[in-house]
Amino acid sequence: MFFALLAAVLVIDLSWLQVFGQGRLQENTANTRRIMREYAIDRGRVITSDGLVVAESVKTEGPLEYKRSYPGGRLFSHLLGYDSHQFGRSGLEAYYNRYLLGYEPARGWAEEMTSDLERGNDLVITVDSEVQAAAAQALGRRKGAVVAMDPKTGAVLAMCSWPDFDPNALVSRERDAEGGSLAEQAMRSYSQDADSPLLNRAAMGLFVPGSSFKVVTACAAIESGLPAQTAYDCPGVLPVDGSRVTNYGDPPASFGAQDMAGAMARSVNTYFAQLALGIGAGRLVEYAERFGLNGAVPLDYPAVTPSFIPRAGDMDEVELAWSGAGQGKLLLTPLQLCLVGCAVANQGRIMLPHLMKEVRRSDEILERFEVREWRKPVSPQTAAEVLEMMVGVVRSGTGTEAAMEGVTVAGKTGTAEVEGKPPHTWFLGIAPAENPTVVVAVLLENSGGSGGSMAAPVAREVLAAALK
Amino acid sequence: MGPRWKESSLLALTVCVPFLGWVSLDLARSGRVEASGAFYPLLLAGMFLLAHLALRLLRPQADPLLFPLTATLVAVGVVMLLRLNPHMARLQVIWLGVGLACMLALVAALRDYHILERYRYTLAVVGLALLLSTMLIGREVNGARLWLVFGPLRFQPSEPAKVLLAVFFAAYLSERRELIVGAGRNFHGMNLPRLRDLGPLLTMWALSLLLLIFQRDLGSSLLFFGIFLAVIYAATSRASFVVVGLLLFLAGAVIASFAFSHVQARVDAWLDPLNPETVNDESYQIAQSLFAFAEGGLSGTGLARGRPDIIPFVETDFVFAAVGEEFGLLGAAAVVLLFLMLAGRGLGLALRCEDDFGELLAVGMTTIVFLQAFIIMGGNTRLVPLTGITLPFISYGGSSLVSNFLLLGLLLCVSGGPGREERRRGGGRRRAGRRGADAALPGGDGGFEVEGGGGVAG
Repeated sequence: MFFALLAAVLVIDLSWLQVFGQGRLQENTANTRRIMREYAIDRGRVITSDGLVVAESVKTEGPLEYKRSYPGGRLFSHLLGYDSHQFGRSGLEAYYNRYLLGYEPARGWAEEMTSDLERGNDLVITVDSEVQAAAAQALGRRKGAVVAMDPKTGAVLAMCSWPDFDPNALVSRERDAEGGSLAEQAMRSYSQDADSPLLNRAAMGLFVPGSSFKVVTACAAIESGLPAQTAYDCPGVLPVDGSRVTNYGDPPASFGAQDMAGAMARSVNTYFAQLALGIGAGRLVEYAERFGLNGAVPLDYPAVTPSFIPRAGDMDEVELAWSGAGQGKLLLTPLQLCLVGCAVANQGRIMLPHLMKEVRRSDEILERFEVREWRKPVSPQTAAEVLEMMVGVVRSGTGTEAAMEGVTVAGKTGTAEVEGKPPHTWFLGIAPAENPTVVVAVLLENSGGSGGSMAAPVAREVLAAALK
Repeated sequence: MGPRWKESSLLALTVCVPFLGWVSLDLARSGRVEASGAFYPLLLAGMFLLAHLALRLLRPQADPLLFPLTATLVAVGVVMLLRLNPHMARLQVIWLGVGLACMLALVAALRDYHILERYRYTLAVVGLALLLSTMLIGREVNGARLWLVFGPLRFQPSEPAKVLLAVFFAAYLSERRELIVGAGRNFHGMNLPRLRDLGPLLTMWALSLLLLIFQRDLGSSLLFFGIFLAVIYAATSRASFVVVGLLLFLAGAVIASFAFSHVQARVDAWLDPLNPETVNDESYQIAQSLFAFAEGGLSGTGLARGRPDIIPFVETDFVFAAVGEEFGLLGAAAVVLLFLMLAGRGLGLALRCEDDFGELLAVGMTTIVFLQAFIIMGGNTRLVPLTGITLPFISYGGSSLVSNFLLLGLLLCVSGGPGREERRRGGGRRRAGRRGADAALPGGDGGFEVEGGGGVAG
């Protein structure tokens, strides 16, 4: 009896260790088995939509069987992130970790027992390597970000950010002459760099949107009963509640009477300030939130930062007037601006943004992304009207630098004042305007100049590459 | 079906273990089955077959389950060693041959196991000498002084010593049982032993504490004392001995843990193995063992698909953790059940045994195997503090394997054969009547008997 009792206690203890307490032990930081197990797997490749392999596993001689290699180098650094046994994972490597390791999609018992567990699944992404390369090239060595999307599907065609980093350096297992880890040195220098090269500005960077936000103000106004024909007198300086809203230029340019299309083309702050005051803070914030501000963006990418607009109750007249013109406490990610453009380009509907196209194993497609609507912030009529105004911006307004031969481009420039530093410049571009297939958002951080002169040419290059 | 036919059919099942191990190991390693890997399974099958045939000749009426159960444990151990360390696996198979030969030699030589009673003091002296030898000329390995080294051969004297001393306990107590049972005062419903009957108990207690202190070996210490308590309990069926004994041992162990830093460190590692300060140091081994069990989950990673090689001394002290990792809860629980079946069989044997010495001998031998298995398995799972002893029949180790097969030989002798037949015919020293205390025997509920089994000569 006593022996049976001892045996029972032992089996209960085993059950605790192996089944009920299993997770807690497996996650213990001192447990190196998880890392050994994961790096014994031939992790799946990441392939762009045009078939370029941008991440793959290579066999090593060390104690961990495989290591990651990024043939695309810096071009895909923020998008893919890194897969390191030292620093963990980031980017798509983190988001699709379980797919790349082959743990998902879940397989049946029989398959689990018989199939090759040591190979992961391949991830095919929506990004096109040529659009990505064009975006990176156009951005050059300027701090900033570019996001390009297909408005009809929500597929991200390009996403890049500079400064970037070398993912191959972060997953390196080599050591220098003194035995120091090269990867650790690279990580240290990246994380101490004041320009934050590890930050993906496209999805995580928050910036004052400037005039590019006028697209949202215009949509909100039209939907709130202030049609495109609404005309205001637009002085260079508009007094608001003891303060003032000014147009660009020194002295601030005065435009006389303008309707919405004219004010959009010339990016008249005093027009959009009056428009915002006309609809009130409640409507402006409501529409900003309908486009996705103040909420999580469901992109299949880790740590997308939500964009921000103050609550209506926290806005006084001055704040509201400036917000209508895209200044003030507003903060947007380039991704969020691109999604605003998607709504305008796709008849008022934003499709669910995504990077995963499909998950494959050899030639078999295991999982495919299903295109579906995410939000419907405005009506098709409103979207069409605003799109028409944006065509005017490129045809004869502030955005002429984005114009292309043979294609009607729509767009909106933005020049966001930043206290004590040169302004950020923005461009939101849509092409072809008749039947949009690509939307691009460009941000140049503290670039100086204007959205039309700095960001619009970048957008044109990206649109051209995407339309090819 | 006679006992030997039962044994042969059970052994046929046992032999599947190394063959399955070979196939699954080759598949996990290279994806195809190499014919050369059949060598060890065939060798094991041959050894088991020879031993079985020899048993047919020597002890046709011996218990038919004992040998297949231990053979299964050995086969599991050899498969694990082939996976962990092929060199050790080769040595282990050689030691298996030596062990089987020793067992058969013992069974052949010991026509009547009562001969052992005559030499009880000799056996005790040899056992004690073996134990004490390590204190004087032993070599310290892994913090405990357990080894004697003769050139290339290393020998762990505590392994045979435990068998010798258990034989002595059985002989000594079967002689004294009436004296001890008869005397004593009743105290609050508990029958307290007389002070002078506590002599042997106190002696054993002192000896095991000496082991603990000088050899720094909590495992052996606990094991010796546990065997003694089990045998004295079986002899007297008085729980007071066990209670008093356990309390004494606990007190001694607690004092030792405070007095000696080595014991203290082990206790700390036991209480908090995942402490970040010690997890890569003092408690590294036990922490890695726990991680191995967690890795295994319900059904295990599969043979050669886990990483039990991370655990230091996995082939000896932590082979159970390796089983847990690669065969999961199902595999580890199966091993526990094999030991429990062995224990059930051994104690059933003691119950049916018709003389005092045989009964106590069976209890002692069974206790050695089960208690030792429990102490090390529990040490692996952090149920009890970790001690460096082997998992009987499974762990790598020549001294351990040979001693355990000698032990099995003794159990087979007790379980039946000419020895007892002769004694019956001669009307020797038979018990006047069965004590009414059978139900009080530890584990003696016979719940693990196979129907129709049994070694009692028909």
